[in-house]
Parts: sequence; C-alpha cells; structure tokens
Amino acid sequence: MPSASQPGNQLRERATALRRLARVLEDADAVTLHRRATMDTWIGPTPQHCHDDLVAARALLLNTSAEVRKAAIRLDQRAQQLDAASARAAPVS
Amino acid sequence: MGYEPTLLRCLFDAMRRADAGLDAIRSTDPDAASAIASVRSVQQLLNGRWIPVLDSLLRCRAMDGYTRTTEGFDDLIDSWLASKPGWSIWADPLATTVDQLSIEQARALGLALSRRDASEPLTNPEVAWLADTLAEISATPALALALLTTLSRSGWAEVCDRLGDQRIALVGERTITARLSEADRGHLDAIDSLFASLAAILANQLVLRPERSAITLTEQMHPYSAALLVSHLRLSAADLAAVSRDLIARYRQGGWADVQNAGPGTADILMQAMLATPGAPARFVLLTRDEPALMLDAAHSSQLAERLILIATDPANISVQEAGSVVPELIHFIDQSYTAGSFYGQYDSGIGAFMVDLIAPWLLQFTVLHQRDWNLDRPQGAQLLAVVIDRDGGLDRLMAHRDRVAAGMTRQVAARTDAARHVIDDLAALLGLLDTVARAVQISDAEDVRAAWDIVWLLTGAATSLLPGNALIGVAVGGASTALQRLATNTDFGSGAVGAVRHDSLFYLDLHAAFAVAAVICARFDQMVADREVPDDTAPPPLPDPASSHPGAQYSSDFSDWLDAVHLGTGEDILNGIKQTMVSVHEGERNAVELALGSG
Repeated sequence: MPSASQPGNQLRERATALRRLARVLEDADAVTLHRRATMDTWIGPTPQHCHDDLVAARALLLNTSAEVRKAAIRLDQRAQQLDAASARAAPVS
Repeated sequence: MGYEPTLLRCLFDAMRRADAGLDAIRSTDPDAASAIASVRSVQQLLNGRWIPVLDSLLRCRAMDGYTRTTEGFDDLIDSWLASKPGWSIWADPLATTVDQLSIEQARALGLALSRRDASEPLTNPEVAWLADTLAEISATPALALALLTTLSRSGWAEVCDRLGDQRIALVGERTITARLSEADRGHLDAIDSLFASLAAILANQLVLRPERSAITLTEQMHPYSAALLVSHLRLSAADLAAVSRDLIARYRQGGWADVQNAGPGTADILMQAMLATPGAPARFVLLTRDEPALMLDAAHSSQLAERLILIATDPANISVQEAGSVVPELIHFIDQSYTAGSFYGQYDSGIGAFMVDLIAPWLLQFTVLHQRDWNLDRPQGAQLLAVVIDRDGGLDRLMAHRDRVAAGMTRQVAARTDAARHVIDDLAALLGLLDTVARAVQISDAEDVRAAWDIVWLLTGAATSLLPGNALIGVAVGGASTALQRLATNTDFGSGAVGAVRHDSLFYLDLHAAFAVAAVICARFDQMVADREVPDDTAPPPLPDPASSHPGAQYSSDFSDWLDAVHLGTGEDILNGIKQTMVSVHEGERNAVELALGSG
C-alpha cells in the first residue's frame, strides 16, 4: 500500500479518476439507446439510419471506455516506477 | 415510414436523457481528452441530428411538410403498417427516390408480411406487386438475407396458404372450362412467380441453416401451398422424397381445398417435382413402401403416380433387394385394397396394365430359382404373378413388353460376377415361368402365338449374348444358329402348317421351348467352332421339328442321337449340360408354378 507521501500518488489519483470516467461511459444511457430504436418503434430508411447511428455511438463509447482504462493502467505503472526510483534514491538509515 | 407514437416518444425522451448524461461528463485530465471528444461527438449525433428529427415528428409536422407516401395498392408495406393499431405512416425524408429496393425496405417487407392481418385478403394487384418485389429480392443475396431476418415462418406460410387456395380455384376452373380470363391468367402467373421467388429466398436459408429441413420449413403450411414451394426449392433427391412423403401423408388426412378440385393437387405437384429430380422417385418409393396408398392413391392423375413408380422401380434405379421390398407390396395393395372405395372413389382402369409394366423387368424374381431374392415362399412368386396375369389382357401386355422383360433379365444377369454360369439357369427358369402362365391363360389366336414366340426368341437372344466367350450378339451368328434362325423365319407360328393345330397351345409352348433350347445349344456350338474347340466339319446340332406332334420330345431324342454321333470331347459335356439344365429347370419351374396355380 503506497503511503501518502509517495511521489507516485498524484498519478494514482489520476488513474482512479480515469477509471471512474470509464465506468461512467459504460453506464451512459447513450450506450443502450439503440434498443429503443428498433422496428418495434419505427420502420423505414430514416429509422434504420437512426438505429445504425446509435449502434455506432454505442461502439464508440465502449471503445473509448476501454482506452481510458488502458490510460489508467499506464498511469499506475508510471506511479510504481516513480515510487521505486524514489526509494532507490533515499539514504539508507 | 411508419412509427408507433408511444414508443417513439419513449425513444425521444431516452435520447434527451442520454444527451444530458453525456453533457455532464467532464474531465480535465490530459489523458481523457480523446475520450471527452468522443463523448461530444455522440452528443452532436443526438442533439444535432436525431433529437430534432424525433422532435419534428412528435410535434406533428404533418400539416407543414410530411404527407402520406402513397395511396393505393403499390405500397403494400405502408398499407399493412397503417392497418396496425396505433401506427402512423409518413413520408420518409431519407427514403431513396430510385426504384431499387434497399436493405431496410426488404427488412420492412419481411416484418409487414409477418405481422399482416390474416383476415385481409390479398388483392390481385397486391399479389402482382409482391411477386415483382420478391423476384427482385431473390436476385440479390443481401436483400434476401435482410428479408429473412424479419420474415417469420408463420408470416409467409399464411401468405402462401392464401395464394395456394386462390391457385387451386384458378387451376380448377382452367381444367374444367379449358380457359381463363386474361386477368386470371396474369394472377396465376403472379402466384407461380411469387412461389418461385420465395422458394429461391428460402433455399438460401436451407443452405445457411442446414438444421432446418424442408419438412420444418413447411410444417405450418397447407400441403398444397407447401408442395408448390417445395417444387421450387431444388432440394436433393433424399430431401425432396422425405418432404414429399410427409406432405402427401398430411394431404391424405383429408379436408384440404385441393382434394375435390380438378387439376393437379398436392401429390401431383410433388410427383412432378420428383420426376424432374434424378433419384427422387426411387427414394420416395422406398420411403413409402409400408404405405403404398401414399404412392398410388394420392395423386389426381393415376398415370402420373404410375409413371413415378415405374421409374422408381426400374432396375437402373433400384437394387434387386429394394425392389423386393416394394413390388410385391404394391401388387398386394392393388389386389386387395385398390378398389372403388379408395381415397378418391375412382378406379383406375389402367391398373392392370400398370401391374404388368411393374413386374416386367423383375420377372426373374418370380421364378422359383430366384425366390430367395425377394424372400418369397415357394408358391408366392407364382401367386403374385397370377394376380397380374389374370387381369384383362395381362399376358398380352407382358408379351408386348418383351423388351422390358429381356432388358431386366440381361441387366440382372450382367450385374453378377458369375453371369455366364447362371445365364442358362435364368433363361430356362424364365421360359418355364412364361410357359406356365401362358398355358394358364390359354393362347388361342395367331397373334398370341406370335407374341409368345417373340418373347421366347428375344429372351433366348439376350441370354446367349451373355454366354461364355461373350462374343455372341444375338443368336444368329454361326452356321448352326443361322440354320435355326432360317428355320424360325420359315416356320409360320400363327397360321399355315402350324395354324392347323392353332387350338393346341401346348404344342406351341413345347415348340417354343424346343427352339429356345436349340438356340442356346446352337449359339454355344458356334462359339466352340469359332474357338476351334471342335473341328469345322463337325455336324451341327439338330434343329426342332415344327412338323412333329411333340417337338420337345422329338428334339430331345434327336439331340441325344447327335451327341452319340459326333465327337466333341469336353464340349460334349458342356452342350449336354446346357440341354439338361434348360430342360430340368424349365420343367421344375413349370411344376412349381402349376402346383401353386392349381393348373396343369
């Protein structure tokens, strides 16, 4: 468990925020909108375009969420590296 | 374009909530910049494009822009959607202006067909439009696939059943009056086109989803409409036979519109399709052998059913063992069950002729020599044959079908690895059988005499062509055979010297047998000469004497004398063996059949 004074803590806080953002993206109402735009609701070329757009939007949001999670992992790794470097530089008591 | 207002309102509200939710997403983290950009682009999609579209629809802009697309028959989708409770139809601003169908339209058509009100009859113009549209869809795999994603089985089954009923009426009228109005002809063509297109579309589904058999596809349909569809599905022989059996069995349960109507019915359509599919008739007959009524008592055209069975049971299409499981069953069925009280209450006056056609290629299996081929007991073969021959003109027709009889024998003999060894036995058994049935029905006129002679001569020729050496084609090749042929040509089997004893059928049959034995002996002797097994100057075998009152006994005596006079070495044993075999098998067959038939 990193202590409050470790140099990587700031990066860890950013990673936590990014994970929170990823969760928000995955839970967004826009991700499930396409289910309401089926042929039970409306039929025709325009409705079909709408449905296709909403499916594409869902894919974009979920892919974006995955990218954000990867960014959070990278921040965690950098935080660990910073902590390790700091520990090596500290005088042995 | 059609929509359900309540659900559309829900979509609109959900879109606005989603937009608000996305708007609340914020982050200043530099690693989230790309994510925030994506969120804003989705927002733009919602509030910049679709929310306004929905808003305009829900604000009912009908008065200032949107109008209903078309009135009338040519927009079947919209007219059906409009009939759905609570649905509204509006012009679609994104609809294509060209006539080409889109994927969305194909999907929508499938949905409309699946959800249409079954109580609403299809008008002729609607059917014509649907036929054209389905033809266009069937020509484009992507459109066909799109249609199938929304088209339910019950949906198209219901449409097919309705059109099938209309077709039954039209075909019935055409059959009875021999004419149809131009409009009705066009409607009939449209129905047929529609079935063909739908079948082409569904055939893709069978390929894509092989677990769905044709039986599964048609299980919700009336047999007649299912038969129409199946006839266009281009199924394999096995699948076509299986679904045909299923549909004909359902059809014979009764109650269908085509049962009492004139013109081809369910079974006729399926049998036509099977006749056009190599291998299907034989498979169908084998599948229905336990229920012969499905073959013989289902089609409106008895000739069609009989043609299917004859093709199915041709030795080219079925094995000896398979024929043994079909032919006897059919004869029993016809003899015992096929009466005026059958499914249609009609009696086929040509059934006797059909039975002769049926047995002609399999005559060998009715002999005692081959009774094991079909697992028949000793008298059964003769009894079955008597059922066929006893019908009016049975023997005449059998004689007339001598080519079929000879071809059947030749095919079976040639198919055996030890063909040459048994050909004499087979020929003798067949001649003995014919001899006996001919005696039973009493040959009484010159034509019968000539016909009986022709079949004996033909069979003998066919058999001798299969003798060892295999060099003989027909019987008149060498010197001895030529002499026999000349004697046969000069012997008037219908009049003249023989005509003096025309009433004595025993005489003719005896003479026929003597000629048959002599033909085989002469053919084998000529082969020996050709192979230099005997000297060229050896006296030829004796010929039958038509002037003798007992030509068979006379020939037997002359043959023995000839054998004693010539020196043939091992050839003597061969020729004597042939003669003894033919006489003994011939006699044995006659005795067995006479015993079974109670004649003598």
